Amino acid sequence: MSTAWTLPNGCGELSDLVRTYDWGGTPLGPIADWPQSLNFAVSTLLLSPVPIVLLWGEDGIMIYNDAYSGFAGGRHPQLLGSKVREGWPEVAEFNDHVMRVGLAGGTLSYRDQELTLNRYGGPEQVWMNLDYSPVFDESGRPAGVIAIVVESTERVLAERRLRESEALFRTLAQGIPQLVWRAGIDGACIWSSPQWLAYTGQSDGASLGWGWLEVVHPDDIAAAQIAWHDASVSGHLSYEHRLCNAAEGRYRWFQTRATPVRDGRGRIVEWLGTSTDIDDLHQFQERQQVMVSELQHRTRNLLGVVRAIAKQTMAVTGPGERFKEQFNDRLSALSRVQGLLSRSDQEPITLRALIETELAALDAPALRDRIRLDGPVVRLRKATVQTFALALHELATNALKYGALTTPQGRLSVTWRTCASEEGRRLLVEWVEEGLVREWQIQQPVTRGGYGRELIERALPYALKARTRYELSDTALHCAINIPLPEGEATGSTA
Amino acid sequence: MTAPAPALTGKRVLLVEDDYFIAVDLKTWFEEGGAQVLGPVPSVDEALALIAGTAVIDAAVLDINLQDELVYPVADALQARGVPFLFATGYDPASVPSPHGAVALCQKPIDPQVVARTLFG
Repeated sequence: MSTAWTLPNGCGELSDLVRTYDWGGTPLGPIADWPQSLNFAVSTLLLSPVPIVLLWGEDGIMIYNDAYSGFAGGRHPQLLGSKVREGWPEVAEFNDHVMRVGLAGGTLSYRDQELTLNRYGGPEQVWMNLDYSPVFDESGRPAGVIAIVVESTERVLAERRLRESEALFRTLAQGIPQLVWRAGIDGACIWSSPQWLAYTGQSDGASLGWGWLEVVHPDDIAAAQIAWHDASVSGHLSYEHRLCNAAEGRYRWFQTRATPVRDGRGRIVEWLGTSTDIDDLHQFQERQQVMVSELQHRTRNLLGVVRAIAKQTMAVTGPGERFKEQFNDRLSALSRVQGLLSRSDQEPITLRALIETELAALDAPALRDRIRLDGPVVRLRKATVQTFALALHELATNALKYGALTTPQGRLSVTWRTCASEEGRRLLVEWVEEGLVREWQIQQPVTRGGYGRELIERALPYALKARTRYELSDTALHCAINIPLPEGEATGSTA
Repeated sequence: MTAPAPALTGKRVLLVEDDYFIAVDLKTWFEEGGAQVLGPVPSVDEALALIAGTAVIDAAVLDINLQDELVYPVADALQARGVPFLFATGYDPASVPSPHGAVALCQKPIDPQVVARTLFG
């Protein structure tokens, strides 16, 4: 039919292949007999740098260009001149639909269409932008479909990786306990993590720009502004400040750090930062400071007490063995009470613990069934413990050396109770020794009592505002201690 | 050798100290030196009452930390009367608030001779 038409020459591999292909064995017939419409479509696509394939006739005989051959992979060059249904059997149904629509005069367009192709011997997931439009013959009827086939697999996968990476960032940024945020070069907030919103109670958007300063402690705003100013020069941001916690209605200490995000020329374009709650650490450090200070106070006071006790002991015993023995005993009592005090934060000191500690120090387990302790749980204030312990030590030592614990029939009973009075709650302790031996009193009239009696009658009233009674008869010692029990010296169930 | 302590004879010295043993120790020492000891007392209330009821006080030694309270109201009362006083404390001097007009701040355990020199030297 047409005679003048020649395929473009030297335009590429496909031009030569199409020209030399034996089209006589296909429904298209020899190339010399092709209608002009077909010639026109083929020469147009062969010259195009865009991957294009022409599906001609009912069977969709395939004629494509160089760009498409690259897309076809291992299927090329067998694909040329084959029926589309046979050329791409794995997407036969898809192409059947294309042919039906195209030969009916319709167009089709797909963006990032996902297909599974066998281009290199195995199935492979690909994404493509596909545009189909009919090609009309001389009679004006659709005779073929021209397809522009642009593979978008690389871009789709890159976008997917980016989304995964963003999701990972968000998971991390929203999962860590720190408050995460992004800010402009001057510190104006661009984005703040859900943790920030939850912690500060700010609405989404309220933290943006300079809104975040509203939850910074007023005293810390200046420091924050200086830190931001310095950061633009140093490229490093790190400062501590307080942030108001919506749930607790109070400020907590935070450490804020940020890393600059730079462009290709190294200029800072924004900051990625975290604010870490260090309030517990701050409180711990403050508590530690107080503890160190208290410890120093207690130690220095203790040295004063030791010096006083040495002097007062010496005044009674004079230098020699008795001084050594009594002073050592009293130092040991002081040492025991320091042990109780050092553990008192974990284990509050109770009256029972104090009494038991002193009785245990007598190192006379056989006495246990001759001693009765009875009373409720009474926690003692730390400030009262030392004087109380020394008084109890003297009572216990006297009981062992001169009192109820020197004789088989002797009995020691220590009982206590708490009661309310007009002056507030009070603790009543009764130390009763029975079954004393009168001879001891006669032989040791001065020693019995002594320092212990002084502590009961003077030290406790002085230091603990106690009212005390110390009554020694021929056969019994009755010592009563009545001290105020302010808040903090709590009582519990009977122990 | 330290210089001999200045004469305490007849000086009326107020002692505020909550620890019985230290209080007795100080009292003994001041009395041995010839001073007349006012107190000792262990609390702010008792110290203020004693100050109010005493016509002449020559000096005072104040323990800063009394069980559950600080001695500063006593310092204020003494300052108002122009009585020289010094603080005795177990705390580090750096952690003690401004001295409320005290003559000096002595770290425990205090040396009575230093106290005497500081107050009357």
